[in-house]
Amino acid sequence: MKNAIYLLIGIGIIFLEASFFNRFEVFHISINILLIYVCILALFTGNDRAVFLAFLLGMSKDFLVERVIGLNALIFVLLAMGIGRVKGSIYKEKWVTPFFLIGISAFFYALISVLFYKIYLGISFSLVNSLKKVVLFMPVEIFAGLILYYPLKKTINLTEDRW
Amino acid sequence: MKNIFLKKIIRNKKTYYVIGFLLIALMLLNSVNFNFQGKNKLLAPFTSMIKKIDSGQEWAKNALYLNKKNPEQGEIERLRKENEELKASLSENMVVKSDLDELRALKEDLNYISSHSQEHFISTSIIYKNDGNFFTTFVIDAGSESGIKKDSIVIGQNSLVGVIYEVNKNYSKGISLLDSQVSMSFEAFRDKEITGIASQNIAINVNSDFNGYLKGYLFDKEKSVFAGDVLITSGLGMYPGGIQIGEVEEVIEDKGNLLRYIKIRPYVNFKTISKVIVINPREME
Repeated sequence: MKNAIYLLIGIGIIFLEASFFNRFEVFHISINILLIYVCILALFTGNDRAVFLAFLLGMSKDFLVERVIGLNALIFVLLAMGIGRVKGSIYKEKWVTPFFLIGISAFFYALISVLFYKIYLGISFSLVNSLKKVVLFMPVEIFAGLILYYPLKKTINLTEDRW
Repeated sequence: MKNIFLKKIIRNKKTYYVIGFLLIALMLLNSVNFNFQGKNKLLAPFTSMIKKIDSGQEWAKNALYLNKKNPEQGEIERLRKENEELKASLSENMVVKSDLDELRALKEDLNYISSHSQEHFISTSIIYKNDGNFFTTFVIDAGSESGIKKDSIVIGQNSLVGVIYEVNKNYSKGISLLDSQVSMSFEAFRDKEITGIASQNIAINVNSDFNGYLKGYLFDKEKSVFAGDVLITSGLGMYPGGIQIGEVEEVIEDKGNLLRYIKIRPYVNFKTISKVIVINPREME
């Protein structure tokens, strides 16, 4: 049941992102809400569940709007595994921890995407300019994380308690 | 009593979330004039909801005079619209006139075979798009049932948008021209003899920033092309002629290769585009 609820929320986020939020930008960067959701899921649910959901949500996003099937799924799974490994040794209730993790995740996500597209597209992909975007992507995601963290955390905690 | 109430409000975390949310909502409402026309069944509840928000936003703007335009701004808007219309009609007339001359000559040739590539075009909407931070893809609300084919070109905002790379029954996926490796031949709008190839798949050995720009090179180095020249598709190869690609931003000389490269600024804005036309590629066999 929990899995279904988390998956439904994630799919809702994907649809909203693809049809609505991707039309806006902050400093020429569109906010990736799904990435924030996966980070929070990995922090507040079990490791296996987080990895499984990260894979499903990544694949859903790839099938819906992305060019390369599996890239988002791969990055999200790696992130969920990474956060799952470190969450035992960090104090996750401290307010700065989730935003720090979201920032690091955004950097990792952007870097992998850029390197992958550089290999995939070759000379038609500008590495230098994309790396500039990697630097911008982090603060934008942290900014979005500041707004979305508590509502998403609350939803996840409620789901964990009730089901 | 009043102070205690005020302190409670200030210390409450929820107050900051509400303020943050309102600020962001205000920023979005004021910065973007979005347009959602999608008719995808999957998204029907979302799009209708968004349309309601959109119309509500307009109503609120009108009611509160928050976005009241000054007369100069209105005049600029009107002139911009008029300019776009004139550009489109001029482009059409230029193409028609030059084509007419060619057709007159061809009429005399009994072996002339007409091209039917432009007979089939589909008007549709962009229903989803990815974030476009590193790579731009979009989904259109028409698929093989509507006659869309792979490698079809997508036109919107009076210029080339991208190409279709995946066709499904009811929807198709497209990729931005800036991210594709598709090549197309172009000609300058003011002089048909200035021709070349535009593609992202061209290696240019200069320190120029090509982010958001198309690369191209001219066939004839002796021909002069200037910044601001409008480029249109020439009609050679898979794609029909007369479609605006963009404007020349910079001309780059490569003395080593004896070539003249150009940096093309496409007209399309991916953040605001919603309605597109899809034209199938010419059958080459």
